[in-house]
Amino acid sequence: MSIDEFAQQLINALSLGSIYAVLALGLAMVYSTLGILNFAYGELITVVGYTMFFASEAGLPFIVMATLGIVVAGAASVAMQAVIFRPLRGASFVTLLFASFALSQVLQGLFRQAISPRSKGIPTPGLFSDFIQIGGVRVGVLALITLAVALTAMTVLLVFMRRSRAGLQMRAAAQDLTTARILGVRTDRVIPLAFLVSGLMAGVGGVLWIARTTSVNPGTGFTPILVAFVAIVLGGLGSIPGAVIGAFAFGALEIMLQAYLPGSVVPFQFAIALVAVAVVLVVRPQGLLGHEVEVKV
Amino acid sequence: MTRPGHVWLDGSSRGALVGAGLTALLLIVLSAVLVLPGDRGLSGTAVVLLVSITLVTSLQVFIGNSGILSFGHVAFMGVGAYVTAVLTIPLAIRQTQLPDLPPVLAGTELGGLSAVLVAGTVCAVLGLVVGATLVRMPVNAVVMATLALLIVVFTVLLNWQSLTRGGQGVFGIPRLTTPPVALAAAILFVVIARLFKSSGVGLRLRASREDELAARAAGIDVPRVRLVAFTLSAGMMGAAGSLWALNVLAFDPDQFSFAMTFALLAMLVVGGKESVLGGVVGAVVVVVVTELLSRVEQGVTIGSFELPRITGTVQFALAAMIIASLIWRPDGLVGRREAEDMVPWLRRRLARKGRAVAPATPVGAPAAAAVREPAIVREPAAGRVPATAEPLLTATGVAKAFGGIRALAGVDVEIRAGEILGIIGPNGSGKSTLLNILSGITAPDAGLVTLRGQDITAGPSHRTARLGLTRTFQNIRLFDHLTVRENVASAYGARSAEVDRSLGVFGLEGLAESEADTLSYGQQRRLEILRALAMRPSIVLLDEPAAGMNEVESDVLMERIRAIARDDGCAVIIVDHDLRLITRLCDRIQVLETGRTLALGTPAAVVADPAVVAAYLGTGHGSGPTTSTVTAAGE
Repeated sequence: MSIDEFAQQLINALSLGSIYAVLALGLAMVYSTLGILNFAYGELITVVGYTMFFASEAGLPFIVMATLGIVVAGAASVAMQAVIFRPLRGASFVTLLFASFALSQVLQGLFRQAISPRSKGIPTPGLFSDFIQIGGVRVGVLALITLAVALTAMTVLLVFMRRSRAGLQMRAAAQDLTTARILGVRTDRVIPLAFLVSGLMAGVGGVLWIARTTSVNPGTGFTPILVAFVAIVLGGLGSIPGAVIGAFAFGALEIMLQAYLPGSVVPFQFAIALVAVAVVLVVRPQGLLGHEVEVKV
Repeated sequence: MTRPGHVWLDGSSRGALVGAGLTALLLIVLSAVLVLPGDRGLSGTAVVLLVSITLVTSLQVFIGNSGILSFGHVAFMGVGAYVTAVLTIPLAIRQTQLPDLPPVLAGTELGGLSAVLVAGTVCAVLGLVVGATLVRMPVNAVVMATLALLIVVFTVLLNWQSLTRGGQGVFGIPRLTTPPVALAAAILFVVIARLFKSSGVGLRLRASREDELAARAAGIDVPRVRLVAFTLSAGMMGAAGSLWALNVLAFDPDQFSFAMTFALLAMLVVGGKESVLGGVVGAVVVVVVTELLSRVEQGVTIGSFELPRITGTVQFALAAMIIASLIWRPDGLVGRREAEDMVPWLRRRLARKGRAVAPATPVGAPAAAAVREPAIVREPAAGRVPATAEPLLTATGVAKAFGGIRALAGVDVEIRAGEILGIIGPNGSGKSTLLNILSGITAPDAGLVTLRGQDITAGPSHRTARLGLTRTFQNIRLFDHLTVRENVASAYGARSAEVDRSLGVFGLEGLAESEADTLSYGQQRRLEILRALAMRPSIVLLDEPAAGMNEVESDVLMERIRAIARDDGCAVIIVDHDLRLITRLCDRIQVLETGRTLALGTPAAVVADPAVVAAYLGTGHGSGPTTSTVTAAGE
């Protein structure tokens, strides 16, 4: 493989990794703030897909489709919080995981019954399938757009968390929810806010994911949620930078396997990537950036 | 003292078998009702139900006892089913379906029982390999890893064409899971699950479910007990998948994905995941609802020789059941109870039998004598070890920082057998961190900790506990939903025959069968100390044992602690804010401030130390009448 080919794969890897990173960030936000692993997070991506599908049926341009998708995902995430997580406030991690798993199954059932079990195509601008030539490297326009949008979204999130009052409150809640509450952080606002931010990230990641796959079906959310899970475990559960690094690592692994695996093994690509992650976790069970916290006894 | 005679079954296994017997009776009646009328549809439902019970019981062995959710067990079911298909499909049909099988498989045709055993063994081995990785990860990460397991196995089943025929599925498996076979299998699975639950490993696993940190400190090798359960559970799941395959006769990889996972988890949640009976009840509820709904949906009676595919309505109903039960009955329909707990007189009888094994504490013995009696009998009555003996525990230069905060900046600790060392200091002085390092819970950044010359610096805490250093916690960490007896018996090295007697010594007799979280505060403190002593430690760390106790209670506690040190030669390190207790009880006191040792010496010397007074009461008190000031603070 030449240097040029490698550079091309590298850009593909970064592009895929950046989608994964946005998705993983949305999931990790709620996990690190509230200790909730929202299994129905994947269905937010499906929601983005269907929103974009109906918007395209209505003849709206892609940019409007995408914006609607993001907004609806944010709203859906807040609604999930109100319907499922609020009534179960104070319940254990496992209980909440069960509940969100049930919710994800309900939503998939709804999509199947109310829309269709089959895939719906989503038109994307022709520009997305173009390539541009930089020296000897042929780079997909979509890959570049993806990378740009994802990095922008992550930067906005970073600035929001670091600079805004609400972001500060969320970081305080992530450190210690009880103490944050004692110090006057309104948890009844922080919790929906965390879900909103999570939903918006799912929205951005979902749009990028849909632009890549150009279709939606009731099970669309599964691969993204699985990858987001893997990314945050690989990066170190509870570590936000870890989630980003885990996502890029997994994206790179996937692309490189695709490029280098012999044809007969390609169907196993995803499974091999997961096993590779498992091998990393054998060596570092706490994940790449998993760090020690003071034991509260 | 008379030792109890040889008993081949202790009380808990006897209870388990009685409970399993009751459950078996329930299953026999249910099967009879469904099968005897001779309706093919109904007897098909009976087999579906019984096979579901084997599946959910296998899942319960891991999830119920470990408290760790697994999405991946259906993978083992799938492997078990495919192993069975490859081994039992008649050779002629097999050749046309799977022409590329390796010769060994292409030429072997097994009967039902052998196929089930092979499937179970294959999955147990697979479970051992997968589990060895899983149990090292943080608990919440395990959940996600099991999901990945499901996907990996699904991908392999779908793409390993020569073995599985991929998405086309396999067919022609002989029907060997007849109603009697299914009934026998379901009963056997329930018996195995109950015996495992009450076994030593099962008990320790349940302890780790209640409180992993405390379980480790009680000498339990948590990853190991989890691995045992995971392996057993995977093997059972494989055998159950085999039974399932021998009933459905044809299937494809899609059957081993989310719909199945969802149905099995719904059974566990609805019935009660911590109880074997719960899984059974959940299976009954889910299968009945599924059957009814799918009949309603299809309008006709289907053959129903297949675990019903989860159609839309069924999926909604299962989800609604899960969510409703999480909100209104989070512990499931039967809660944590088992079959024998449902029959009050049986429960009482079992409890009486359990007690009869251990000799009762002499009634009317003077309280002081009871207190003085060694808490737990140690084989060679160690007696008072001369103070000149080698130090038992030595810590040198122990330092630890969390992020930018330096909790300990080089502290030395030394204690001999039979000695009582008090550690005091203001909040944030590093007391808790020091105890955590000594007990192997936290690894220090620098320094060395040795116990009888053995390096225990890096822990892990269960090893430290096994080497003879045990502890209690500032915020009482009991295994809340285990009984008092189980709390003590789960500790490493606890002897069941001695547990009941020691309960008497600590004033907890009669509470043996109560769940720990129903105890009063003082009883909980005592129970935690008892658990630490049940391991027959050579040194015990007590973290604020007198917190929240009144003067009378703390006097009794003081006597107990003295007895531990004097009669058992056990060294005691005690952290407390109650200076009255510390100064009267301890041979030496070590004062910590901002991660350093401020003073060390006899109680009289320490309380007279101006630096200590300043640290404790603020400099405003200057060099007044120090001794009385400090003791007054405690009184």
